[in-house]
Amino acid sequence: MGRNKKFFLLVIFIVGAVVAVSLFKSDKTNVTINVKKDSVVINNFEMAKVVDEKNNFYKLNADQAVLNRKARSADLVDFVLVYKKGSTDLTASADKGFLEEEVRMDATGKIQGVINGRDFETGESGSFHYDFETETGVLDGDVTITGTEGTISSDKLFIYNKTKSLEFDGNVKILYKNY
Amino acid sequence: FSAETESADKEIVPIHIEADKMVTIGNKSIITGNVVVVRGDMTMKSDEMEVTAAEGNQVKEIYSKGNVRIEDKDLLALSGFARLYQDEQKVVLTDNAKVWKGDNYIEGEKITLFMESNRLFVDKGDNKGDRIKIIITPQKENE
Repeated sequence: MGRNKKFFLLVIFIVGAVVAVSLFKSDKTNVTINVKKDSVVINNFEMAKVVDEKNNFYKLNADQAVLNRKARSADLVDFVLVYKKGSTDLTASADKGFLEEEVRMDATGKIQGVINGRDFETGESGSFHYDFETETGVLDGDVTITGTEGTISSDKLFIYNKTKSLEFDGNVKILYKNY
Repeated sequence: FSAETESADKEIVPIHIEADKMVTIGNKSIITGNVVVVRGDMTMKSDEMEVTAAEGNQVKEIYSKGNVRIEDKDLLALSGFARLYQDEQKVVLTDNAKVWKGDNYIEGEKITLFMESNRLFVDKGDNKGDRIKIIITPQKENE
């Protein structure tokens, strides 16, 4: 095979190799992970856990979760929590939140959800604290609860699930549809 | 007159309540602080109120306590207590009840207002010497 032909084949091989490497490299996206000690950052986070033999459970989805395994807690961004245990049947979504597994949840921003069959929501800068052990909660910031019977709104709402009682505080407005 | 037609004709009147605070336990709600109830043309105010809900959480009864004031078109009623019975569409006023209806005035220990039929009953009360007071203003000839 003539010298020119060998040289030509070598050039083709080199060009092919360069193209292959650049293609492979472009698939890799640069992911910067900001990992604090004992924390794990997970995007598109989803988990579910059965918490006892009665099949009570909780399910958590979040755009981002920073898990602290030691503290069994998580900082959450754009999350949805579904929690069913005892007299608590809660679904809550919020912009930001903090969850200490089976102990408490704090959420801020626009909070929406369903608690024991009633839809609830806050204004844009609401806050929600829920204690899973005492099954009590405080929802703050233009709270509205909607049920089949009508709508109730107030500045603040205290939730006492064990006694099945709700306490609406400040600027209480109630509409009973009464059909 | 079958019940279905009767319930179909029954007017659906939503009830609006505003107050400072409400505590709901089971089917009872205790409402306190500048309580104002609006039901159709009727407005009822009192210091405190207790709402009892029936099945499906519809209002069955409203019990108003302290400085009760009811206004409904040309009717004004004042009393210590008032109990609104949603199904029977009636309000029972007790404890020094007074009612002004247009130019007429009625006073007694217990006054029952029937909202649909625009009638009222007045009881003098159980204590000896309690009496009813009624002032009827005759209408002028050309009215």
